Amino acid sequence: MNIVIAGDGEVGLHLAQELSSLENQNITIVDPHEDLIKQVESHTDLMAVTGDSTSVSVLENANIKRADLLISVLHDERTNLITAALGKQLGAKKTIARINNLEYLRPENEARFKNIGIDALVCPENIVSQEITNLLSQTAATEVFDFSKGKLFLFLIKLEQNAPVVNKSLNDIVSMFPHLDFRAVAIHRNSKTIIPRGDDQFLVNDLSYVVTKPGGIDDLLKLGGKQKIDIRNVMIVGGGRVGRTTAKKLENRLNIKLFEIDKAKSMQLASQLERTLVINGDARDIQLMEDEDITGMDAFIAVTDSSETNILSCLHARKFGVKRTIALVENIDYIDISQNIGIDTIINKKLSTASHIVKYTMHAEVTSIKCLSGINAEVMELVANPHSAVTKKPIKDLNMPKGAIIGGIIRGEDSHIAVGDFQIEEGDKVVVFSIPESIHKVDKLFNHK
Amino acid sequence: MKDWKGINVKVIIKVIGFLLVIEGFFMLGSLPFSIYYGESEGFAILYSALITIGTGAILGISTRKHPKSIGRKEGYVIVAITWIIISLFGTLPFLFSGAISNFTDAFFETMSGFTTTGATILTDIESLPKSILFWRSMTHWIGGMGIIVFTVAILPILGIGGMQLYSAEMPGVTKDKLHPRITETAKRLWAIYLILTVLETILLLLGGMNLFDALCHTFGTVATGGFSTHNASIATFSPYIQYVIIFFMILAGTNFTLHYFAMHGQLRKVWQSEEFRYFILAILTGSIIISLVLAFGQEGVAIESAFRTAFFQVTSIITTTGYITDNYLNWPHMIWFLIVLMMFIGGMAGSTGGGIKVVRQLLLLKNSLLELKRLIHPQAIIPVRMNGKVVSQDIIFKVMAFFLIYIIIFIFGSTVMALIGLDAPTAIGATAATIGNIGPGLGNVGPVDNYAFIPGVGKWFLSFLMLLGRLELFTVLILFSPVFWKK
Repeated sequence: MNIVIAGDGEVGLHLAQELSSLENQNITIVDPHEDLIKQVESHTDLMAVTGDSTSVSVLENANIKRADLLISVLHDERTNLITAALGKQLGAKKTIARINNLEYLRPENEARFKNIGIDALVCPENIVSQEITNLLSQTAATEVFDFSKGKLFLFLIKLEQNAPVVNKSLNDIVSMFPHLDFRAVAIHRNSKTIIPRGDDQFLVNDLSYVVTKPGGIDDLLKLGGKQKIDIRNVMIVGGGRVGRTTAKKLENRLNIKLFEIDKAKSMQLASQLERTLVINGDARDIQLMEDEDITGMDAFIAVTDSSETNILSCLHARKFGVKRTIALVENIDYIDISQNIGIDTIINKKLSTASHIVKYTMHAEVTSIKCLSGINAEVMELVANPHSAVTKKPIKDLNMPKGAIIGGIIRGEDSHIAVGDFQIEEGDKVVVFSIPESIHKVDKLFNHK
Repeated sequence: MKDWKGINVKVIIKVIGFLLVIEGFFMLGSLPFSIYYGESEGFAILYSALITIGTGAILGISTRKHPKSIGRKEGYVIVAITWIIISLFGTLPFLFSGAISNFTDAFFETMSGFTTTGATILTDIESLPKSILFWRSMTHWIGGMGIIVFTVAILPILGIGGMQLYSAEMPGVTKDKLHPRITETAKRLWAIYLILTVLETILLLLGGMNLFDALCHTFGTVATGGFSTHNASIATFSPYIQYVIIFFMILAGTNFTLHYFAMHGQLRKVWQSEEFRYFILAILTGSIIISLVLAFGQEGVAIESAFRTAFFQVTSIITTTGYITDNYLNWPHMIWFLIVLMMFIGGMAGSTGGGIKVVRQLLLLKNSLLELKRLIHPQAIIPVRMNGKVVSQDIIFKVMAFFLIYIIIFIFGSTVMALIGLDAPTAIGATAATIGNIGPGLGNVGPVDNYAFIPGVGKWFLSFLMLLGRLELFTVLILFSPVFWKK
């Protein structure tokens, strides 16, 4: 697959690296900054074109007419719209533009953008704020994703000291609780990812990824030693697009305090957010945080532009007894370390956006895909195509690649946790957990050749 | 003369010329009635009209070659001076016919008409010729929507400067334009005004009024004026007519932009307006309290009649119309306080009503309540919202200034009236009723009394208050500020 990525900095580069680590993807990156491009070219196996992506000759240099996919992820949404529309005219089969304006995402506008040659719009801020709202509704989990509108969930749970499953192997647990509606698909321990087999044991502080049916959530939380926290009061730090969109999504059901350091921006936020209390101040000002009753908060969300501020203010919130802290960390190298020092959830725009975009590079019908932060893995929902390999044998006999595991199956209105004897049928939506290197092998299993 | 203190005098003369011509034609509207009723005062009206049109034409023609661009300053001067000049010429029919012989009285009556106040110096209204009464009611109708808005609507000749004039005559709080072009907006406003006028006239005719009474009372209602053709105001008319007038007083006190939405089927937008809901709430609360007091406080009052009486008086005071069906000064004294309070509410912004206007009070109230929240969260940004939209700080400051100046003028005015020799309730009532463009006040200027006994100085002062109230203070006050006259 030939992919052209137009970017102007980190997001584009990250996406290029992410995609080029997958096999069979030929990446061309277009970026105006020569130095950056040189650096990437030396590290990563891709082609680089320096220049403005809205120029016809630059796009032609990037061999746009043979491109299967054009992804435009510059900072300026207008440039992205022009690049995508122009790319389509010049022969790109599919185009994706990154945007900021949420208005564009409304369903009635989809056809308008299709008309000018833009197939899909991706708004990182929206994706991230959606993740945050999901997290707040499932407070006991570190991360949570839902598939097919809540028919299956993937939970990331940090095992507490008192969890009944600690020091038990998978086999022990199955014999103790024979009718479980969930299944652990991966464990993240000491920066390593383990796909658990029958005799692997769970340890304290393991981050375990579990696929569960909706009915299994309560049991799952009990086994993980978790209690549900009732979230009423939320503090958001940073009034950028993520903070604003999140506040907008939550303000009708929760009490929200939003901190923004810039006066003019605060005024603007106050006019857009009717029920949010916008406070013009610095979240690092401890006195102010105490005055605004940080100890009474149920959740603390730090989404400023500075990863360091976010991490530190989350740590601070923890100290004040806030049970749920979520930090936006754009620096990927920090993710692992910040999970170790006690912030319960890290979100990352680049990873979220990348996982959103990766789905467009796959042949099988992918209905949903999530890049997991903290570990280098993705979980996706694939549709089993007619005559594809997965429909031919029960799960235990499938030739699953190393690093990939089937978690559950959605068939019509029902959902099932994957067990060895289960036979996948065509049309089933299958939730698969996989490390990036194996994604395309998984893709092949689901895709009829 | 061309540029006096930075103000383009010729343009002002030119516009005033136009306006006088228009006023003259409005005067001619009384002629059919004088012919129908066979009154000789028709000549007085004809002469007045000819003099007004003639003067206007001379002023207009003598400055015709002058460019017609009107600046912000000229806008204020034109509007303030126009209102005085059309009132001066408006006295002519009264003076020529001898209906009002004294110039001070005639000016008071005309100013009261144009500013839709409805305060009268006449002791026996019914003794006046019908054609003169018709002109008297006509002044309401012209002043209700504003003669300048009318001119802007029909004479695009005013061109660019229309906007300056329009905003000086229709100050309001925020500008709602119904159309990108001010001329078109003005046309739509006058169209709505005309529709309301026609509807009410028809409904009154159906209630058994004759055309003369129906038109005069319609003019008094849709302009929120209050001049009646009967000494007893509306009291002698049937309950049906009273309800019709209540209904149209409410419509006239409503922002005309909302009428525009309603006529285009966007009823939800009307109800979404916080100002409208608050306006209706104020009327209902006042009516219910007073009807309860009337129904249970006094013997032998039927519930329907108590409610109708309360509803009528409350609507009339809040919308600043000034029609009456009962003398509220005979009611229990606790109600007086309520009446004085209601005199300050006024109609909605963008209506024909006067007073402080509902939207200003709503903004001040909201801002004051939010002040408490601001104390608890000193660093929070807590803006005032109206209809879900943030109201900028500038507007809040302007509204505060307006409110403060209004109250100061009210207190100052009451003091002046007391100095002239009026007793306290009369002084307070006369001031509140004239600056609020209401009409009936308290004490000796109560609903069944009139302003005839007030000394000449007092009448001139009250006329000035009416103008201040009608043009919402700033348009007039700015002419007294030194900053305005600096080059």
